[in-house]
Amino acid sequence: MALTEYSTLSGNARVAAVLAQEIVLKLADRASLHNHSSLINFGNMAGRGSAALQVPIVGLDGSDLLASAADGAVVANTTLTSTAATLTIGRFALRYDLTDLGGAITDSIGLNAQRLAESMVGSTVMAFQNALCDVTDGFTTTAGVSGVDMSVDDFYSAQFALTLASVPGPYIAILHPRQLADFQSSLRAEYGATQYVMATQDMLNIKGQGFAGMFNGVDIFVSSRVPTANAGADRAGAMFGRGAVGYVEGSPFPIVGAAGVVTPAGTPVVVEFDRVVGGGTTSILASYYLGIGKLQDSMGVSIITDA
Amino acid sequence: MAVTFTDQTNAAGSTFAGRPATQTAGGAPKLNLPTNAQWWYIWHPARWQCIDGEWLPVLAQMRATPGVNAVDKDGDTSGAETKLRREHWTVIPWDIIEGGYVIEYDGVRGPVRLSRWETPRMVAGQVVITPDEAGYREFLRGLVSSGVVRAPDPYTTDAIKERQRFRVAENSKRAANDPEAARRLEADKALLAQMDSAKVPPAKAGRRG
Repeated sequence: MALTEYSTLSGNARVAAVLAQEIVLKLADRASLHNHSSLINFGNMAGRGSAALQVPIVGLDGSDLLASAADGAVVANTTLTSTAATLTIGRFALRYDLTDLGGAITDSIGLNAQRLAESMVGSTVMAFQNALCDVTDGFTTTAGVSGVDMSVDDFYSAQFALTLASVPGPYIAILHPRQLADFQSSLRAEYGATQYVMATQDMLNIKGQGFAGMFNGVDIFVSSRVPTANAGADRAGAMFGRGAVGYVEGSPFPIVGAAGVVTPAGTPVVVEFDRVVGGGTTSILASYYLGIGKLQDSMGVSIITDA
Repeated sequence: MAVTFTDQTNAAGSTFAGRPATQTAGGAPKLNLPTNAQWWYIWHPARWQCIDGEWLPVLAQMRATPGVNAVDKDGDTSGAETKLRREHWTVIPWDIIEGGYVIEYDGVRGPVRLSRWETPRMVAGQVVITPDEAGYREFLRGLVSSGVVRAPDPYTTDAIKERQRFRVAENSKRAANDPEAARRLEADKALLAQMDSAKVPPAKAGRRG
């Protein structure tokens, strides 16, 4: 009698492969500075009467100095210095269409419409990060040399530029992974006082995504969203103080007429379900309204070094 | 419905018109990079760099991403442009060079817009972008010589040189005991020497300079 082997049962009582009950996340950068204290959050635009928020920047509290005046002299009027930054919100959106056969009927691992709705939170904060990096690459002041790897010297150059501009700390740096690796490589070769500083050792440790360590009191974040510069030859990271960048968000609540809405806690993203009966399809749509921009250019430095 | 029976044995029966096969859009290769909005190069009088003995501008980008840097909900950049001009930036139009400087590719998730000096290729299953640095520098030279970008004010280049001198001084102090500082010192000195003798691309005759 022949043995009952796997091959005998295969295709009938055994299947080619079964699905693991744990979904493994595809490698991607998921670190975002959304809600980080280095950025000024101007709240929610809902119900404020405009899609644009004007942020007044006024020279108060020490910007204008009292000048010495002779006894009895009539002092000339000083015009108050002011400017404004405008944050205009725009929509960011993502949609997945999931058929019943692809979703509810055959799902055995929790990869369904609800899971896709949850996933929108991560997609939203990364859209925020992308927008943030598109702002911070354009500071007027730059540090670094095109085509040359980032070094400790470039870090100091950026830090000194902010210090010379009287930018109050704490500072934050956003670097591309390439820039961080070059910076770490440079740090690794440091002699003298720097090598004994705890932060130097700490900067070389492997960590999770996002926060890479603190050096000279500057929080360093790594992000693959840092854009290129000089036609792809370089990356344009940045270092800035609180007040350089601000943002405002919009949440369209309540949504009238929407049958299924999910509002994940702690995020302004709105996820809606749309049912196309004829196609047996459920659409999962996320909408996020964001306005982000530079508030004060002189409070930041773009760090442009070899890609 | 009427049924028409044809004579299967008739050699002179129906003929069918054909056409050369073309690759459908679905099968055409698409670039696996994130989609991006339209963008323009912008330049600021304070952004200069010295490369190989030449002062060249460091350009940034104005991107028509709604919600970012004062671009409105429809991607209208007029508000952003006004803000940039008030801050002394210059927006460089696409058609400043023949054929434009932005190339649009079909991407997996939508259009991908790169500069004409960035060439995407597939290498070992990954998209890599090869920059044409020489071509880009030629473009930068052209911007200066044509007067689109004004030559740097000596104050600006002096400030950049001063920063470089500071780096040289810092590394000089440590070079005796620190091989890494000594290595960087040589590179920094060489760059400072280049800066001291660097030239600005000459303006073309008959153009504003």
